[in-house]
Amino acid sequence: MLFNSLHFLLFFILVTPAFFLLPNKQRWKLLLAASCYFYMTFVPVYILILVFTIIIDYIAGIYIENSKGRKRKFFLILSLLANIGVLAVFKYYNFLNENLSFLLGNIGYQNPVPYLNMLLPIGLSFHTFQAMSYTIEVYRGHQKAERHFGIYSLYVMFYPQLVAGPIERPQNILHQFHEKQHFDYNNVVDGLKLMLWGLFQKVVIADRLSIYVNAVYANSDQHSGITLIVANVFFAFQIYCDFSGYSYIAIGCAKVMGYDLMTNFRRPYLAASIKEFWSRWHISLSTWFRDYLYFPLGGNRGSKARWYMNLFIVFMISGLWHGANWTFIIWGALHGSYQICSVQFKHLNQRNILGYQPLTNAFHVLLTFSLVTFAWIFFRATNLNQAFAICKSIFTLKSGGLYIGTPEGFAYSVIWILFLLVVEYITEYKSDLIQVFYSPVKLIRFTGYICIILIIILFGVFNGGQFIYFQF
Amino acid sequence: MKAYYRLFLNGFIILLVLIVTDKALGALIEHYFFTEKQGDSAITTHGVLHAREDILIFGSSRASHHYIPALISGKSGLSCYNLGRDGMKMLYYEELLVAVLSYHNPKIVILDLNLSDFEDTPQEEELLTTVFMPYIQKNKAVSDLIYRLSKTEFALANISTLYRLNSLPLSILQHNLEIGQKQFNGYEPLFGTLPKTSKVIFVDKKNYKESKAQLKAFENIVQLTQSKHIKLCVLVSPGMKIHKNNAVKTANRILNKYRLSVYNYSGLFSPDPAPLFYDIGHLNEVGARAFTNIVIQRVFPKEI
Repeated sequence: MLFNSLHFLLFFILVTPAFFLLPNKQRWKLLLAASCYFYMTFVPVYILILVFTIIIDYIAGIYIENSKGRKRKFFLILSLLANIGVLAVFKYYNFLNENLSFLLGNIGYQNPVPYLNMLLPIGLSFHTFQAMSYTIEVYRGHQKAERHFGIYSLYVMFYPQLVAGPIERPQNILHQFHEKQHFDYNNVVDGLKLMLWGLFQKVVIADRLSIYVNAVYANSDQHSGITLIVANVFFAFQIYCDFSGYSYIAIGCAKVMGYDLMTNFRRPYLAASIKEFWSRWHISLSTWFRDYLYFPLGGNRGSKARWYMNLFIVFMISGLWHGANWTFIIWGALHGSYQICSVQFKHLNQRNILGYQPLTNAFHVLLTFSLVTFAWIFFRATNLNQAFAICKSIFTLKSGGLYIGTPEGFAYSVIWILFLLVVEYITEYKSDLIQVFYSPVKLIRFTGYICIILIIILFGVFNGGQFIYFQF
Repeated sequence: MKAYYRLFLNGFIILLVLIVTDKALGALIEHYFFTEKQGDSAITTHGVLHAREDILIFGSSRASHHYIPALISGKSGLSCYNLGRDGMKMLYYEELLVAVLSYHNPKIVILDLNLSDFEDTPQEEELLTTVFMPYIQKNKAVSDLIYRLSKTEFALANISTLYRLNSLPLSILQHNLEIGQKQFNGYEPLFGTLPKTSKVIFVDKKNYKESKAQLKAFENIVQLTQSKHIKLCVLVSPGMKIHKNNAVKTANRILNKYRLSVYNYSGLFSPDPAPLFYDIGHLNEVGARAFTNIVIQRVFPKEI
């Protein structure tokens, strides 16, 4: 069930009022049933994977809390192994096997290990990471083990963030499931606003851009360097609006019922450095890696070489988290290298190299955006050959005109990107001056809502398909 | 209870304003849509609502760039309109013909067969829904078509005027300002030629697969014209991209059942076709003139 479908609208319209009509003690049952239904609309049988990890982690959490010394560690490792094992089997098995075949083939052997023919369970990386954060936090003593099996199940399965995050921490969300959620007008309206903005980002911007990007990537070898540059800039905005749109809908959907999920995006393309970009992009994942991998590896303590290695490892694994493909690993490695460079050349970042601070800031924003957009080539390409061929065409400025596709489609793409940039700029720098959705004047607020709905109806692309991050 | 009431009241106000704006803004955009003089939609609008001509030409972009109605009318004395539309296939020709026949019987239907017309194309029904959506309340045949293709789309299109006009405002603006490609009774001339050295390309698609739906649509076109006593001429216009697994054989098999056959002019201008072509799939204005004259000389004496 996609957030941008009528099916979801109907689901939301039924579940939300039912949630408020039920007595507080019964609400978790409704939310859990709704979450199961939500997940089972994709591939029903894969709910068994969730059931498996939920049972293991639930028991592990209690045992970790009740045990002392090495036993605690044992149960933590058991839980982590169960989660990583599920990921390894369903997400990485065929990738590892493929690489094994390649290696064995090079020395003249045939790989006897069979491939598994199965679909990747939707949102697998998201809910396993959320489950892992629970047992780690219990182990660290930051979170009490959840004794209510239903509530714990809901923590993993809460439908707004089940398939594509935000990847929550138990300290933020678990206690909210125990608290009584009152019908609050402001929460409902704020939630609906977030959902509306998310839907706008998805159907008006992301899905519009996807038409051009898909057309170019389908025949990337036939397009000119300039077309490939445009396609990659479009993809940068497509993936942002697709994922940020999803996150806004998820956060809004939870907010309507009174639950606060963590912010996942904060205008990442206005970042003036790669470090800042990662503090604004997919925040729930980057903080997950920071807390559960980067810090345990030693973070920035120790030698500079060790620090750089930690950064590189974290970003490589972050790349692998996204998908079982070398393209994602290279994408992660690129970001790791960017991070290392930005640490190494920190002094340059701090200097006013253009002599006029706003201009220098704009230059840094543009440079960061260019680096991020370059890395997206590896994220979007289906394999390394395609990615390298695209890089070659771009850097050699392969001759040929600019592919437009349909002129109006191209024009809409440019218009909505500019619109988004203006909105992001205002939100970042001028939110005290210009407010629409949050204006104190009711007329302005209502006009804003109506305009966005009309734009969605008139300019939305309603056959754009699923969210990109569902595949992770 | 007060919060519920406030939410419902504000929701109701927004809904009401939305409905009113949708209808008012929709009516305005719709007005400009239906009065377009240029562009693909103007041609479909003519077919769905205003076609009164004796000769109607159906097909894809190749039809719209290859047949000159003014020449045909001049020689035959019959009125003519070219309903060819870029990117369309047999399902579209069929549905447009059904829409035309719901209010008008032409004397002759010319169907320009594209050599890949019977190929399977994913998402073609979606495209049909999008193309015909604006006419849902203007033509019963179109309304039935959308209902058949998607009940959800049918419901949404009947509820919201703006939804019917989804993604169209910029092209409406462009066509009303008459920017871009001009058309003359549906004919869209192309100016420019291919380099003289350009050669005919033979395409042999390994995974060529004919779609049952496209074949059914083609046979339905034949049956519809037969039942209404309309002359049907199926032609393949010249091209420089010749498909090995093409529609001609299949089309002939179907047409033979009705004692008809395909006029195949795909290689008409060989061996030196380049000066008459705009690109490998489309004749330029000179080529279109030459081809239309040949159609009038060779096909019309047999058919009229």
